[in-house]
Order: sequence, then structure tokens, then C-alpha cells
Amino acid sequence: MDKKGRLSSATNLINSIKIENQNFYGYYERIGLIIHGGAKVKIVVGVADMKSSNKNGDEIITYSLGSCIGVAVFDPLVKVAGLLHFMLPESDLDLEKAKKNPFMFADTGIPRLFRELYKYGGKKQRMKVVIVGGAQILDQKGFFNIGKRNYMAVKKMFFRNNVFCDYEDVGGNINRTVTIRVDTGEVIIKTSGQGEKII
Amino acid sequence: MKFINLLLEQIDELYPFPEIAHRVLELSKKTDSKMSEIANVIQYDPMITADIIRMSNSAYFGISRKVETLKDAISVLGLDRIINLVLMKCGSKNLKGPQPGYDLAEGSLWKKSASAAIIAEKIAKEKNPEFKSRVFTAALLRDIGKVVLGQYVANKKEKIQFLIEQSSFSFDEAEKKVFGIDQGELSTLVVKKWGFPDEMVLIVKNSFNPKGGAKFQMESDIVYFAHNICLMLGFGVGSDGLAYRFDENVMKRLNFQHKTIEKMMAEFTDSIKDLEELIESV
Repeated sequence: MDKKGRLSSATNLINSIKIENQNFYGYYERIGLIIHGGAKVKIVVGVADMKSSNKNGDEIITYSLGSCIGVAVFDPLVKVAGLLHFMLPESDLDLEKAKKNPFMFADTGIPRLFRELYKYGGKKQRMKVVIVGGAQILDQKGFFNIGKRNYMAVKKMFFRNNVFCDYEDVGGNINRTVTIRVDTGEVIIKTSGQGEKII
Repeated sequence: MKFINLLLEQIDELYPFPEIAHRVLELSKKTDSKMSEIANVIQYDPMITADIIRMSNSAYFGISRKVETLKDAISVLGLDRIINLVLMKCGSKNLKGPQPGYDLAEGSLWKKSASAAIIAEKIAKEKNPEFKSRVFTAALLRDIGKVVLGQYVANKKEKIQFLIEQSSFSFDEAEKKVFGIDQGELSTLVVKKWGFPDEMVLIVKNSFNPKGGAKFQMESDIVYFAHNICLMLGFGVGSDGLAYRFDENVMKRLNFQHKTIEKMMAEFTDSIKDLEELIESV
């Protein structure tokens, strides 16, 4: 790991092998099950929802991000991961709803995601951060382009709070499913018809 | 055999839309129809009656006491909702299965269709309550063409993808180029073949490419918009992604601002867990 506690180049090398060779990846998965001594738990994050875990072997997944954005966060030192699936940029649309479910909006959901990881001893400075989603329908422009506005809202929040994004896969008109593995912090982005990549 | 004839034969292989749904829809349009008349039509089918009672007890409706009879269900939920449940039950059979051609898992297309129907009905309540039943039905059936075309889309996915990426086609424009027919035209053919009235056929047809000044324009606009909300939410989105055209003129005609869209998304998602449970239970 580097000073920020990020994954080493050896891990990155393994990741790149996994992308190139799905058979090796499958083998690794099976070995992984043995190492962790039990079946993996898949935690599903719904629309306007957030989940976190520090249990080795757990995977947190959110399906089919359209214009919504998934924010995947991982602290490699304390090995805690969180995944937020927010839907809209700003909570001033409906403060009552934001109070009831802060994960609906970027400006209320993102702080809650980070705070959740702090509870496990996570530190912002060493967190791996990946953002995924924010797609748009063709010809969706200006204020009607909710995917783009969601993306701008995340960037604004990150800039204000000195959060550095390690990887982003946003925009276009594709839908994406994202998974984060608690033991390694790997983020798997699956795009319909285009396979998957591991970050 | 011409490809189009092959597709028409495929339509015959769909589960037919049950007669009970047509009769309930017909009765619901008559202003002098009594609640008991509609109840009698539903009761004629004990399977659907049992399903309606079961669905009425879903957490989505938030009823404190247990619904045990159809009469109970009608009095607690109201006739409109019962009619919608009958339509959902009848429409789900074709839409629930996986659509590998579009890379859609089991239940995915159904979730989009049912969600769009519920959103469309909500919009109609605000715009013109008389349109509620029409837009609910049209939104529910709008994607049926995908069930017919899906198996062929898989074989031509590279060509379709090429047209989208290199020639800026939308997904349905690419379907039209590759197959000579698109999912919207197929949906229209199915609805017509199932014996729905002309107005329903026209609403479904125009909801893929709404035009100003067309007959039943507001209904088509509402159905189009409801399906766009589902796309943004990622419901029923597979290999086609969000590669469909967004028409701002529809927003203008409906007098919707961007905030309206966001409010609707927020409103809909508010009860999403209960709604998902209801949709899956159909």
C-alpha cells in the first residue's frame, strides 16, 4: 500500500490479469471462498439507499444505474466499504424527503456515506473512491439532463470536502451495475453487453 | 418467409390478453357501470379473484386490516385500483420472463412496465383524471414489442451497437434499420391484434414518438414521459441502455419543468420497497 493506504502495484497487476483472463478470475474467486472459510454475502443497495460492511468476504452491489450515481468507498487499512446509490442532485427539492431518506440526494447522501465509514475507523485521506453512473437519454439537455447534474453534484461535494476520486465511469447512455468487495476494495463495474472491469 | 411475417407469427405465440381484462376495461368506461357488475366479471375467474385479494394486502396499500373478499378489496382500495390490479395480473404473464436479447433478467421488463403504468396514472390524476385508465393500460403494454423482437436483437447486437455509436442512431432507430421494424411498431401490432380499441392502439403507437397535434396526444405524452422516468431510474434497462430520444417538446406540452421530473422521481421512490414487493407478487 502507498502512503494513503491505497492498493499496491502488485494488487493492480493482479487486477489487470483478472480483466484480461476471466478464467483466472473465476479461479481466484473459488480460492477466495476457501480463504475466507465461508460463502460470500451479497448486500444489495436499492435506489436511494446506502449500505456498508467491514465483514471479510461481503460484497455490496447496486444494480442498473441509469441517471443515478453509485459512490463506492473503501478504506484499505480498516477494510471497510460502503456503497451509496443516490438519485437526484440536491435535497432542496424536498427537505422533508431528504430528512426521511438522505440517500435520495447527493448533498445529503454523500456525507452520510462517509460518516458511516468513519464509524468503523475509516479515514477520508486513505479512502479509495469510485463513482459510477450518471447516464443520460439521447438529446437530454440542460436542466433535464439529470445524469449530468448528478455528476456535477458529486464533483462539487468532493471539491468542497477535499475528496479525491480514484476512478470514475460516468455519462454515456449505458446502464451500469457496480459491486465493491469488502476484503480487497475492488470495484467491479458491469455494463450490459460490454462485459465488466475491475478497478 | 419474409422476416416481418415471421414476427407476426411470433405475436401469436404470446399469451393472449385475457378476455376478463377487456371486459373490465369496457365496463370501467361506462359511466353507468355498477361496482357489482365489475365485481361479478372478476369473480368469474377465481384465480384472478384470489390474486387480487392477495395483492390488496400488500404493504404498498398500507391497509391496517386484512382484506378477505373481493367486495372488501373493492371497498377499501376503490374500483380504479382493483381494475389496475386485474390489468397487471393479466399483463404480467408475457412481460415477466427474462429477455436475453435485450440482456434483461427475469422480472426486469415487468418492473419497468408496471412502474411506468403507476407513474403514468399518477400524472393523469393531475392532468386529466379521465385519462387514468387509458394511460395505465397503454404504459403497461408499451414494451410488449420487445418480447417479440428480443430473440432477434441478440443476433444483431454488434450491428445495432455500431449504428448507435458510429451513426448516432437511437436503439429503436437502429432496430428499424436492421430489421425493417422497431419495438414500437411491434408493440402497436400486438395491441391491435389483441383487440384493444383504436384509441389504445394509437396511444401506444404515438408514445414512442409523440407528435404535437396528434389524436390522444396528452395520453401518448404521459405514457412516453412515464417510460422515460423509468429509464432514468434504470428500470428495465438492458443492452439498449438509455439510447432512446428525449423530446423536450413533450415536457413543454405537459408543462413540466425539470423540477417536476425530479419531484416525480422522488415521489415514486418514496414507496419503492413496498411497490417492488407488490410488482413482484403479481
